[in-house]
Amino acid sequence: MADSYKIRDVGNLILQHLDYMSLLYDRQSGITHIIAEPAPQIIEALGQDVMKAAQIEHILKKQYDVQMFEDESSDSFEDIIIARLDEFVDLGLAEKIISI
Amino acid sequence: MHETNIQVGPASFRIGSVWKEVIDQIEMLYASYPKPKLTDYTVTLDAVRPWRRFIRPSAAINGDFMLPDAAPLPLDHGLLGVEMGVNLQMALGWRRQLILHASSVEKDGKSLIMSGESGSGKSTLSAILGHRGWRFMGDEFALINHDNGFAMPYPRMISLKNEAIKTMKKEAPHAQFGPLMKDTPKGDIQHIVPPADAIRKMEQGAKPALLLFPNFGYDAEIREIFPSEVFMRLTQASTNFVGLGETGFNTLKRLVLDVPAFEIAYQNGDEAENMINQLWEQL
Amino acid sequence: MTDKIDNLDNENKSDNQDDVSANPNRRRLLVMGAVATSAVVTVRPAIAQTSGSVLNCEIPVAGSHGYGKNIAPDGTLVAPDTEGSFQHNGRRYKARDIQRALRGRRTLPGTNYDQSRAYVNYIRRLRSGQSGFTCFASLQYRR
Repeated sequence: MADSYKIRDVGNLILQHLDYMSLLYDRQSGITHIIAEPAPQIIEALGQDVMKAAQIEHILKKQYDVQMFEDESSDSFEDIIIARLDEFVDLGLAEKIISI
Repeated sequence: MHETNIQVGPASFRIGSVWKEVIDQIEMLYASYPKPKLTDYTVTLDAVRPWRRFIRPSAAINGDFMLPDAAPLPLDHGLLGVEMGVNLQMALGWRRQLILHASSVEKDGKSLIMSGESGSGKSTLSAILGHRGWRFMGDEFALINHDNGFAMPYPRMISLKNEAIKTMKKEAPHAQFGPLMKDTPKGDIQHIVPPADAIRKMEQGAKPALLLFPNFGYDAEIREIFPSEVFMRLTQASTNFVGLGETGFNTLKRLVLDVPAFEIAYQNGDEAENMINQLWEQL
Repeated sequence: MTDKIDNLDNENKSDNQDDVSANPNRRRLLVMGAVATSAVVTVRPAIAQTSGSVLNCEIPVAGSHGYGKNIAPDGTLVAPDTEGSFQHNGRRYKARDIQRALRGRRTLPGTNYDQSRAYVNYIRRLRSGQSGFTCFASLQYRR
């Protein structure tokens, strides 16, 4: 079973889109992160909910035309979303709910 | 201990020194500035050892905020020591505004902010423009208000380095210059008193209208910079962004969203002035 | 029919036409970087900069998305026969050299002035997901 993810305290995050990057201010830590696509879109898709990467993929595909940068990359969309979510977990912004 | 008080924009300092000549130099350069009764910070120049007050005199820079590894300077460079001490108080202590390591000038009630590291020419450019129809606001720090986003002046005595000394002697031959300090850790340094209107209006802020990242010594070029790059650069040009927390985040975010930003490369002041006027007219 | 607008929206758009034709209603393009390419740069205090301690990342010029293409003076990838463009061999440049070149202090090792400028412009155009992007982003933090 795939793991689920949740933003820890979405009410205390300020997300500001700029251009190809966005600002993310975390009130809890007082730290500013500058995040690149698709990280901000993943946060918006998650919102307050608990989701698996596949659900996030579904939401993003409904909203966006998705394109890979490096043409030869064999990474799947889902794997990329998981990598970004794990990055959020490492930064203390999200938690992983492990399924057994 | 000899001492004097100085006011620079919103900040005030008590300057003390065991050597009278340093205080005399400060009082000469700051003669036309208001003299505050109460001060925000204290900076002192002390003898490294008691006998070093007379023999190869060496000045230790002390103050409310200090860096543990700051090296002492020879007394001849005492004025630079005071400048560094004052900068340090602002960099480590000031919280009333977001501090940007940037120069700034004003025209038509709007400000131009120029950020760049040492050698970019931001200081010299602000000094030149201050004699060419702009109001000089500061050569070192731009202070951005949290409430209305205005840039507030910090028109300390301008610190000229190396070639900039010659440039300004030509540009403003009648301005008041401090003593020439040769071979300091920053090269040759000489201070120049800002134009009278800069000091008279040092409580008048101006809404930022243009952000520039100058680059001296290269073929003329103008390049627009994306907001995210501007944001990254300015977090690194700010000594108190992280410490200010959400307040600082909101102040910088607004600046980056509201104000167009460009990098300009230039070979001399005239070239830079032309590019700046061109960008200013397009606003 | 919507190609033109989509191309304007994203200068790095590749010539993958399938996405566009499959979605006739113009939607925003979401660009995905590879799994291994971090999407986050965290702001560090300026006062804590210790220059020289961490200058160890590298940026290839060009990355794999530039194979078989040349680099124009403005840093865009162009057809190899484009006049005024420069060849590249995917050489990896060290952060310290790139930083000097970015600040206009020095050309990149083994390049002449114009070539270095084109390469530096290429680096400035790096976007999330392209090789070297996070190195470029983190360079903004080093003085």
